[in-house]
Amino acid sequence: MIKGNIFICALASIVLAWGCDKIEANENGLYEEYAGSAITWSEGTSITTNAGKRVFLEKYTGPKCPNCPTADDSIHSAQRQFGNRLVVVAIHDYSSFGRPLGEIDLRTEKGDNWSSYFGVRNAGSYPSAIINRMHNDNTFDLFMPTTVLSDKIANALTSALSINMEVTSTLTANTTTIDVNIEFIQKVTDSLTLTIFVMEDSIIAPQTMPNGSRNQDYVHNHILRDVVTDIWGIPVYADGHEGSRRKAELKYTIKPEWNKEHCHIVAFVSNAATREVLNVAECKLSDNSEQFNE
Amino acid sequence: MKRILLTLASLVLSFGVMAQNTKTLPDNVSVKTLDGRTVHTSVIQNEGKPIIISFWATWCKPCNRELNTIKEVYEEWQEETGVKLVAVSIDDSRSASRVKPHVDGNSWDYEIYLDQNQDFKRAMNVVNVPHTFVINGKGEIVWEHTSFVEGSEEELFEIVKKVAAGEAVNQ
Amino acid sequence: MNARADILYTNGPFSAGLRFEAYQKPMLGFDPRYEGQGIANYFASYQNDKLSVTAGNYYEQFGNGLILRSYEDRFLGIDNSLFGFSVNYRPWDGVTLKGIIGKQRFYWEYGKGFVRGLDAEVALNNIIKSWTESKTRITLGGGFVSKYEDNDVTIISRQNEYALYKLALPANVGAGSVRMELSHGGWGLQAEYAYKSQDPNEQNHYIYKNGDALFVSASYSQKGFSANLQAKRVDNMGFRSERNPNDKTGQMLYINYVPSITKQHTYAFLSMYPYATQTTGEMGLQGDLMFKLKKETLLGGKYGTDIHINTAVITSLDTSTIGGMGTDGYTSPYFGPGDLYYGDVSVEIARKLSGKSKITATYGYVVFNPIVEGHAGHLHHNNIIVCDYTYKINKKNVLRMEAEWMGSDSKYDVLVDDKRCGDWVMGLVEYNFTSAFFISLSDQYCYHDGIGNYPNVSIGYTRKASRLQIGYGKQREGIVCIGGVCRQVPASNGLTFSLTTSF
Repeated sequence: MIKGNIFICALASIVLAWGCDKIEANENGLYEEYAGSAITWSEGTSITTNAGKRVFLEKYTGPKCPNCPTADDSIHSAQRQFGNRLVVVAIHDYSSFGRPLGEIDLRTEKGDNWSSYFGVRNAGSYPSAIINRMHNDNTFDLFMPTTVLSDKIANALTSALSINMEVTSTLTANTTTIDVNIEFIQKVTDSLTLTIFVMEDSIIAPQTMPNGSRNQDYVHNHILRDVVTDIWGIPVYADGHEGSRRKAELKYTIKPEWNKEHCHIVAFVSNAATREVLNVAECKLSDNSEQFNE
Repeated sequence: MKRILLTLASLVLSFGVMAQNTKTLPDNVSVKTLDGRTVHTSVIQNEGKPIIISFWATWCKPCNRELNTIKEVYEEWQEETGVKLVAVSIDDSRSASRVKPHVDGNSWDYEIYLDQNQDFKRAMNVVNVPHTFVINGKGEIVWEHTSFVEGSEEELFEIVKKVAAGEAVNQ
Repeated sequence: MNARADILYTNGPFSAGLRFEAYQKPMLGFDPRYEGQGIANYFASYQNDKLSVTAGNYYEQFGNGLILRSYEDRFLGIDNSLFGFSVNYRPWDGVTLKGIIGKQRFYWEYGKGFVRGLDAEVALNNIIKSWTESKTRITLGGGFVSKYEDNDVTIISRQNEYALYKLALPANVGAGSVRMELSHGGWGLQAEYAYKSQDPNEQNHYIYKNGDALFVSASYSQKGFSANLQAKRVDNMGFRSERNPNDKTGQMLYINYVPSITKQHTYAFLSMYPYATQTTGEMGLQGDLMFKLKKETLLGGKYGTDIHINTAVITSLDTSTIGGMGTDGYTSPYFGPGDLYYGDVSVEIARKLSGKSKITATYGYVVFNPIVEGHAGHLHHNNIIVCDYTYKINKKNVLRMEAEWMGSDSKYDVLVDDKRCGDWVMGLVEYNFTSAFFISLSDQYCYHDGIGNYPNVSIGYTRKASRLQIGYGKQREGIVCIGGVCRQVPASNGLTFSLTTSF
């Protein structure tokens, strides 16, 4: 009986010893540790060549969505029409339309979170698009990106320009240094966030076509690969007065399975509360073609 | 119409297989008594006489109907065959503390056990409640049935009488 | 389609089993991550009367489950079995010691966290010789569960212009509980108290507050009468085996189980606004009373009348916020109730009218706060009346009819889904031929806006341990009692085919 008791006490004390960790709060009552400086904010530069308003178009799509190729055609026309005034990203989510038909999986969890937030994943139809994450009363202004597309883009381009943006990417091996410049043309008092993501063009993967057949060699463009910042952006540290300029610099390592030659970096600034996009900028992952062979 | 039926069809299939020489009542599954002791199912004994095991829950109306209907004839059954009814409650911690009041409130005279985490239910491959078993004097499961409607208790008693008389039960 | 096959093999003290599951397009109500098929559960175990050792998947519960409950409910798609080792040791009669270690099932994978635990339970009347025959019976128990998850994970809590700060995460989170069960003749008292160490996770928004829960149940019963009172308070007791960033895990990976103390109603309208425990914080009371009006009295009628009264009220905690992520979160006074989450009162009267017929009439009043389901809104107040009548035509044929009505002021709320359309009426007719065959027709209709019509026809055939049930129509999720059995069902629309058998 005593032996049994000793055995039980020993076992219990072993379990209790590694039972739980107690974290001490720091002097501010916070349970945190320094995690390094990932983003450096500094004084920005004036933007000249890439100044002006651009429009951000997000399309929620998927390989099992038969109406999506038609939307892609409309978007191609819009890109020819608006040139670099239009920045497009295509997002595959975890809906049944987003399920891959082959081996290449273009879905991202962060994209799926966006899809749920904007009301596409649970209640929307596919394809659904949204321009500059604008609201219409209480809901996001989702629409089918076919016939109304160029009107909506033209309309969005006419709204007032509050900030200019420019983004550059310098690639060394698999890590890029991303620089985003923001110039305030008008005074902005709202809290802003900066979101940066990576997208890839010319991915060959199967797609369901409008007639129900499957195109094994469909060319998927501007596919969201990863969001570099938090999915709702990092806070923009600026006082927002007219004429001020801010620059954010950070590093990001791309995944080896992406084709570097076809990747682009996109940065956009949005209103922290309403999510509406003020302006967007895009650049290739690297302008230096030598980088692609490493 | 057919296409609609097919696209809306949902299917549930469930098979349980127990492989042994003859199916016997497992004797090492832990259950709790109404006064809080944990015991093994080996305590379910009736000195060689038949045993009825009925799985039930406080929220299961047909189970309550079964146990209330048998209550009215239980004394006669016991006199004639010496049968004992063991009622195993699968109520989980939401309602387990109400099992004893429920049993007393209904004036049941059965032997009650609590199977809070459904270990006994799993070991006996029970899916829906009520599920009733008849065990013979050797601890073998000779008959089982799921569901109860008024009148089923008579069929149950026929089986119990056969088991008490030592006859084989044809399932 | 959901299919499942359980195989159990026993040979003396050894047993082994496995379960094959297939979900080809999981049914409505089942998480789509179940899609696929394979062996979902397998184990081997040795059991004698003192020792039981299991390797593989197993289920276990400590006490009421406040610190550990690994269980499965196939109709709800819940299965958080532990995969590892489990030991149950009974050195002396009345003493049970348990030790477990394992990872939890997460659809077709396992969670990242490692769970280990110890539990001891002692029935004092078996240990203390002089108490063996005592009328007072006491059982004491206590357990400890700890979870290990790699804390080399960066969760950014805060950033400013110059630096990022990440949470200092605990790799080991522990929870302990003590419990007691006392009974003396018709009196009973059960209590359990659980405490959880710092557990910042997605669900509690990464606060470092400790968690605790208290459950108390007191009852008195004798033949024909019972009274029961339950009280509980739960604060930050969601205990999962993963911190769950991105809120992926839904209902899976819970290590513990915090029971709700509302009555599990089985009539359709009484259970239309079911209350689910808010593990982040709630407190409540439940009272239950059962008594009989004796037969051959004025009120009792010829055969006697059974009366069952139940009431429950659950509120949130009265919290004062300290901060968000990375802080202690909030404080709340122990006895201060917050906003009403749920309240109900139900009175059920059951009477046998003659040798052939029985009737049960129930009145219920339910108050429901939609915040429990995640959306803000006014409280819903519902009045419900149920009438359940059974008529035994002869020895083999039984007819059962049920009529329900619900008047709800939820119709004045913004239309969220068809449940909010307000007033409902329901009729059900069920014909049973012995216990082998049944057919039932029912319809639930919302007559305020005409939206929401749930017709359903079901037929079933039962033979020995096999049961076949085919239903067509719309069905809500909940406990459904037709054709002589009660089961928890997920929502469905269309043709439902269910076959269960064991051999």
